[in-house]
Amino acid sequence: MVKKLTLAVLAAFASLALADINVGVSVSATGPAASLGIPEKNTIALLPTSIGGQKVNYIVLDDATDPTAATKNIKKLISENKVDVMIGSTTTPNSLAMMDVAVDGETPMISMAGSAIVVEPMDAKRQWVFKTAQNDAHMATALVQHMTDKGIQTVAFVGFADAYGEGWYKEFAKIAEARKLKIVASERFQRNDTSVTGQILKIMASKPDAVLIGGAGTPAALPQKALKEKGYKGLIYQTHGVANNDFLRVGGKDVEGAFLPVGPMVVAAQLPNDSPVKKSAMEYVTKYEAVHGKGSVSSFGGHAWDAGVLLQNAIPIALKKAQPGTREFRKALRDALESSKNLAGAHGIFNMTPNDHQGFDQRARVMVTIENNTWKLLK
Amino acid sequence: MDLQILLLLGQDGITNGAIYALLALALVLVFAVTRVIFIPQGEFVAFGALTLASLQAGQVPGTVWLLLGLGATVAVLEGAQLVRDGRYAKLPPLLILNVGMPLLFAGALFAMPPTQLPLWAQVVVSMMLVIPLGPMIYRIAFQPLASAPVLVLLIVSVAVHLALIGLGLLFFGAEGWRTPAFTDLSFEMAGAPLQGQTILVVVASALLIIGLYFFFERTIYGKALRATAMNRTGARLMGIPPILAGKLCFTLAAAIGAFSGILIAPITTIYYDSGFLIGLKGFVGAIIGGLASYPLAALGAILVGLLESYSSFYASAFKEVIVFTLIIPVLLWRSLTTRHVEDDDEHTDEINPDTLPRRAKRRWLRHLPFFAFIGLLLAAPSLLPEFSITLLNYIGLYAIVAVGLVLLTGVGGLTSFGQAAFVGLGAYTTAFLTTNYGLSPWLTLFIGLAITAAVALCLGFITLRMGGHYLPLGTIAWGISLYFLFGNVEFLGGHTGITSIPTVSLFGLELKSGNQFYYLIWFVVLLAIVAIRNLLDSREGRAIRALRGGVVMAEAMGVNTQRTKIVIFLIAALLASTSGWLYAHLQRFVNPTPFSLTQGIEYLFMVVVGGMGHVWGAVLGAGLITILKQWLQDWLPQILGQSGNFEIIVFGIAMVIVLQKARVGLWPVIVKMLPLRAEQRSVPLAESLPKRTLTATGKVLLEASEVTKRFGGLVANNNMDLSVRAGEVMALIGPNGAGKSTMFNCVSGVDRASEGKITFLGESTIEQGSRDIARRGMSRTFQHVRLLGQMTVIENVAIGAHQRGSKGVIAAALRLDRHEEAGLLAEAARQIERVGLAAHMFDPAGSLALGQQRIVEIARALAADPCLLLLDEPAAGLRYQEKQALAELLRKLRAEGMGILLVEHDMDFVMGLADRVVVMEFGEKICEGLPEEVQRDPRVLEAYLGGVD
Repeated sequence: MVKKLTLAVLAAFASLALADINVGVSVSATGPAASLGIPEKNTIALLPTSIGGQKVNYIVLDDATDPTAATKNIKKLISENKVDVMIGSTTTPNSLAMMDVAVDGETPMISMAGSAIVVEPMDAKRQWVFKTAQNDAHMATALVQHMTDKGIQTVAFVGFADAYGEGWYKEFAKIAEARKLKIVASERFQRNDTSVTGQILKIMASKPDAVLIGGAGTPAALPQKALKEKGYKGLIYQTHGVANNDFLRVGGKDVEGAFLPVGPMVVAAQLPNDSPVKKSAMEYVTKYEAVHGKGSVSSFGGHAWDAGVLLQNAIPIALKKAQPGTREFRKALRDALESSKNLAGAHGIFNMTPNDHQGFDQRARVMVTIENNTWKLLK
Repeated sequence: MDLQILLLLGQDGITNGAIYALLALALVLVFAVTRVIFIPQGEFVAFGALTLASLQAGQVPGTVWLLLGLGATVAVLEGAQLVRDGRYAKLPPLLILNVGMPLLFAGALFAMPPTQLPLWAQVVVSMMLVIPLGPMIYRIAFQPLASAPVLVLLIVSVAVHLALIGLGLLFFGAEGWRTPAFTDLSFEMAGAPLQGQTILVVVASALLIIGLYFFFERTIYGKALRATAMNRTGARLMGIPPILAGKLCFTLAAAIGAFSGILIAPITTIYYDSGFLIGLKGFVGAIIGGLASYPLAALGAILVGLLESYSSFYASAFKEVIVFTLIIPVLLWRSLTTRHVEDDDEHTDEINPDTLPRRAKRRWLRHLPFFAFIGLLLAAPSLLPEFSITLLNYIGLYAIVAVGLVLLTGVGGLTSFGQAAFVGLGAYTTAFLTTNYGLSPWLTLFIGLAITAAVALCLGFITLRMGGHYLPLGTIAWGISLYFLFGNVEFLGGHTGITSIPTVSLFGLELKSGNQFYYLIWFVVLLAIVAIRNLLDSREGRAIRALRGGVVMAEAMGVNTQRTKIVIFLIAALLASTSGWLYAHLQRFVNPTPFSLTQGIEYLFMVVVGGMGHVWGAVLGAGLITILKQWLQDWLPQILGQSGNFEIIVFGIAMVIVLQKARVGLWPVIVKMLPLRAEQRSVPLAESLPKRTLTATGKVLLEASEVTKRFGGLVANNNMDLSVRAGEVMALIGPNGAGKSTMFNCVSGVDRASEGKITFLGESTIEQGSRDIARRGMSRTFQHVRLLGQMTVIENVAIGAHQRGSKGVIAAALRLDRHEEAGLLAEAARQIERVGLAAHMFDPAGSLALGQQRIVEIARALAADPCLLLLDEPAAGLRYQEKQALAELLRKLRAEGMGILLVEHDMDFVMGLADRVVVMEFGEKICEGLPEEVQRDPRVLEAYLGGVD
């Protein structure tokens, strides 16, 4: 009798001790956003496999930049794998599509998408959604500030004809209007276009002081090359989407001198030693480059890393309240995520509040320029 | 508007156009020889460029692994064949060529760092890595399917393309590459800088066109390739091995592709998936050239490039919309101006020996599988886990679209890539109206259907006029246009999409969860299946199936082909729209991505893999592909590791294998495995249809005077006179090429006479179409039998009675036409008995001997209850007894008061039967009179025998 009881108690403890934490991940590792999703996928492999004494399983699925596939993934992860938290997806439309399912499944979701619409305006649905990527608006503010500092008065915009370019234009236009910058041209191009001559000619005809290229990855080099080729003399701005070495490789000499806002992680080594972000940023860069080679780090991978940082902080708090795999745990995890304070990630310091599920501030972006084929932090 | 800007844009357009032209040329080449619409041509370009870029970056390109893999596969496939045949002697050369040399090459590459090679050597190495891929891919993917219909070859093409894209991502990564220019020369033209590399591209294109032109027109190999394209069997008989032709042309295509890639890599960034869009625009150029003419293809491609350039200046956000919308009128113009030769493919009705209608003996047993299926569907939510229900939901959504596509493409033969756009219309209508105006989803369903119907009517009206290969491209064009329209229009949420779409409520119950929505989706699926099946099994259904037999035959039987095409197009569009509505309310979020061309291609995929002509094939295809993708996502990372994305590669390869094993789709394979036996159906008993009152014997039915028909410079008929009276057999004889069939076509309304008068029953027929003439009582058979081989004899004959019925599509779908249908079938059965083929009533028409097929055509003509019968060589291929029987039948018909106009070569048959004879030679009448008179006439003897001795 005592033996049976002991066994039962031991078994109970064993099941307590062995309850794994399941993290579901949906990234766009193929499709148009592959250059964003692949570094994210690679980073997930670097995230800690044990937090707070419990084993953490990452179940990674690809959604091919397709919202339908993203929805299918999250439904699968929630109903079959019983994940405690979702990380994903890479793009804004995918994240919006997944949101409803996360809410219905009462599962917290950490998105890596750029647009603020994923977490604002706060409502019953967005209670469950968090975001590690700086809002495009955040980046746009720094960019516009730089422009006005340089005395720019007219700007032309040429961006991707997809959610990324669209989102960036919206934010930029809002802030530009507030800061009395005049947008004299707004063009679009497809990621795979072989030439943007028409767009560039139109832009140059409107004689802007500066041109903002709203693209991500190597395709954003094309407009800049074309501008250089056609002899444009004004300032050229890029977005944080180009912060990877492939862009520098393809752009070559032609992208020298462009200005762009980035997460501090991109120039981690150049940050002043007293920067609160330097340590956490360097940690990520070193870890990633150890596996994938020097210079392979990309800004987008950092968003996945920061999701890990958030979880590493929140999971032990939630474990005190409930067991993984239960509804209570997911709710506790959500609460813990929402109360993340002064968490140093690769991209910035997180300070989440019930109304702000993104949590970054001024320290989460810096302006850099491209000099000698590398990123140079601007003071 | 600056002249310089105009010139710069023009230069840009021509450069891009030249790139597209390079692809267009290769596409025309491949299609002309193998009938494959080679979508992966773009991948050759990408691989060529990326391989060179890899070499320049000092890495060993992944292409080496592909080469080794494909080489090994070819060696295995061919080697197995050689071993089976016992031809061991050929094994060593095979192994050396396919395995040994690539291995050697790979070894050399690994040993020596690629950056040490000079540029030209790197170019050569790149070419040598990519070119062998061409014939290898041909051998592995396309050779086993050499005689498959064009659509199946196209789908295999798409599968190969998917696999190559996956491999490209694996080998070269997601980011782009550029290579340094071959030349840094730069010229000034009209004040604008002109890059040397650009000139190279244009010059290369021009040289290629000239080279290809000479190759195909002047060399023996080129002519051999063209011969294979026109007639494989004929070419084989002439000693041209079709396999050689295929391999040669794929090698050429790979060479052109690799070379193009290397040329354009310095002037633009190449990505692993650049190939598709470039290839698509090249394809547009190729189609403008009619998939036959190289100069026109190149011009078409340049036109696309110019359009792109100028629209990216004027409205860059809508560039794709403008380009693809403007393509449509060009296609329409090309389609109308090309004399569209209905090639053999359009009549391809390969008879599979095992397609006898298989039905279970007892009625309830026949319906059992269907009810079992419904039972399983009802039970599923309680038995299966939640995610499986999610999958079933998606399968259901795809199946709805696929069912429409089966009707449109599988049965009607109109390939459409644009169904996804109609899904988008339905989804966006409801998304917009429910979120902005708070309308009830049920109301927006009907609004969506109405909008879709309007758009479909407009688009259908334009695209369905196009024939041949112009039609699918037209669907691609508006499919892409609509997709980009969805994404670029602000009020539809742009690319970010519309969120928070409300749920659907059914009788107060909110359908929120997947489980609840499941019932609604599958209810619609079943409704669609039942309706379409009912439709196909009716008078209108026969009319739809007749579309494949060629427009001429269908029109002659009274089918309004234009209207029928629009009807099935509309049905497919409405089904797609319903699927879109369901999707929007299931997912509660829409953005343009699911409505792209890629998805449109995938629907076609599902239909072809599932079973093109079968409605259940749609469900099977949708289910199979969805489940396969899911399975690959679950298991591949476990088997192959997380490092890469292999799903799409394996998916592509799997599809190629499936299609090679089951080229008509999987549904027929499954049906064959079920324990059903062929059963005789019984003819429904019904009262006879009202018959026409025949004209009194002796009265003139048909009067043709001074009929002249010219085809360009050739005068086929010159001042022909002809008349046929009721109760008379008039024979039209003459040597081959005399113009007899042309006369027939003029009389029956298939062709319009250039000059002259033709009256039938007192009314002029020059202005009338063959449909109206048929309705008034003229019916005909054809010189080359035009039956639908897969349909039973009774169904073929029932087509003839098409105009004696009136029940339309809705009545057919709702099964309200049974009474009329019974009458039509009974009439068909009567005619079949009359011509003496009652024993074959339920056999597939294609399984009969040719002579018997001609008799079936006569029965079909009789089913229309004509008063004038035009028979084109009815006795050809008949044995003596059969000819006697036919003559007997014709005499009977004559006695009943019918007029018969007969073209024949068998003199005994004609002379014993005809009342009057007209003899034609070189398009003119040389004699007319009683049979005996004509037989003795010296002019006739001269024409037939070359003179009297």
